[in-house]
Amino acid sequence: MRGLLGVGGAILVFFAWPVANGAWQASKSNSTVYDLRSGKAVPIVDILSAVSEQNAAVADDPTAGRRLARSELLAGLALTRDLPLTPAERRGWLTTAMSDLDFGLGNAPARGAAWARLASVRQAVDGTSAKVVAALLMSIDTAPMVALLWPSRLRLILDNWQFFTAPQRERIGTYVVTTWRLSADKRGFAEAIRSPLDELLVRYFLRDEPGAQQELSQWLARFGKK
Amino acid sequence: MAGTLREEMTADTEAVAPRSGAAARLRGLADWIVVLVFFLLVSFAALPLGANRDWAWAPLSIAFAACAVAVAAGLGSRSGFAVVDAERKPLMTLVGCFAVFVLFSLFQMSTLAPLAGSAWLYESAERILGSAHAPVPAIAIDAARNTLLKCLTCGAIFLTARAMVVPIQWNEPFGIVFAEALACGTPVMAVSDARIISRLADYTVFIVQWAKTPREVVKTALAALVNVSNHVGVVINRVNLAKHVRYGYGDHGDYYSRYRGYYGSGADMPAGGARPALKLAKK
Repeated sequence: MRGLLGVGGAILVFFAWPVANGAWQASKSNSTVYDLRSGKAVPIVDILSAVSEQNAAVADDPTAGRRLARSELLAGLALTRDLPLTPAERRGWLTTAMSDLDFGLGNAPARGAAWARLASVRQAVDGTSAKVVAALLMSIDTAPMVALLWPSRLRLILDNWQFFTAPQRERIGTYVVTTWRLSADKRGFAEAIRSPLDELLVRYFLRDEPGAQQELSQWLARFGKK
Repeated sequence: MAGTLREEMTADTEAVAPRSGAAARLRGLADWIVVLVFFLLVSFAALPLGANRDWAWAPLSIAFAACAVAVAAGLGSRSGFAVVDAERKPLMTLVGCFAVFVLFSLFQMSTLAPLAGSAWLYESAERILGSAHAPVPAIAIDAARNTLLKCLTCGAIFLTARAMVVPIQWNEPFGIVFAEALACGTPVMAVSDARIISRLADYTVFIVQWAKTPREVVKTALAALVNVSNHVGVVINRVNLAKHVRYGYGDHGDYYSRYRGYYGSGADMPAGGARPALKLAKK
């Protein structure tokens, strides 16, 4: 009985140790990840260190959560234009992020932010397409109202508008209007608009909303886009 | 070998003196609290660790496993584990609950997809990504949420209920809710069915749980049954005879002696196993 207890304990340690160690490795990069999320300037040395810590965490414990966490860091870095990275590095990180997202979301699909990230990464790697739309719609289904995601989500909608089907366009139109109504702060709409065509589409979505056209004009003027 | 084992068991039994009275109750209470704390720890440990079910179990498992290895190596009591009666029940409950969790997980692992709840998510993910399957923790959580927790919750509700009255409005094919309530010892009064069946039956027996079924429920139910049935009898079950005697009711001596066979164990039954006949009141 005593031997059985000892063997059981040893087996449990054998399986649990890599998972705990992976969590410990990943926790080292937490401060850098939080700084990047909040838009703070982070030295490139810290960023590369965080990437290697995330790689070690995934090597120890290649689970969905671990790989999705790495994808956040890699995709965020690769899509940040002012970082001193080579195109090859960016491409490599995007490819790794896409592979992490495919695996991670296949195992844990209830993560709206990760689906939006997959849409962004797919667009960055292969350009606008129906595949981007599919990931974007899943992101909306799983996490429809995340204020921080809204500007990048609206940007994806505007960029891939030609790939939406008629029913999807109708649904997205309703979604944009609902978000407008529920947003206390409309700056996300102005941030996402980068061209006259974008502005035209957003104004089209909000065509029946009372006062929306004027308010949008005010926000665009505030951002110097008008 | 068998002799040695028996000697060891006898020695263990002698070493653990049976406890009685307030000390035993206190010890039993302490055991239940330990089990409860353990369950709370296991259930909610993920919250202070970032609510991350992917890895929060690992440090805990290492802690438990290290304890197991240390005990196996001889740390602590060298005479093994002595379990007294007061400890046996909570420990067996704990083991039983874990066994149920494991069985549910194994059952749902066979499909590698949640059966309900988040199933649509995996189907959509597979359509978009080409492949998707739920990991074991997600399956176990789905199983727990959809089946086990529901059963436990229902059980808790029935255990705390004084009675369950079900006004049936339709022809229910199988009333699982009655079985669940009865399994928890809660009196059930399925109003419509009981009255319908009573019309067809020769006799109707209304079972009242002692000190639990409210008097108003009994009176109302009996009034309803007497209207539709020719013979209605009442049986009181789950009588705590010791408490009943302590109350000092005038009838307790008679009650105790005549009806002991109904409520006592087999050893208490009258010679030959004969039980007093049930008296039925005519309408």
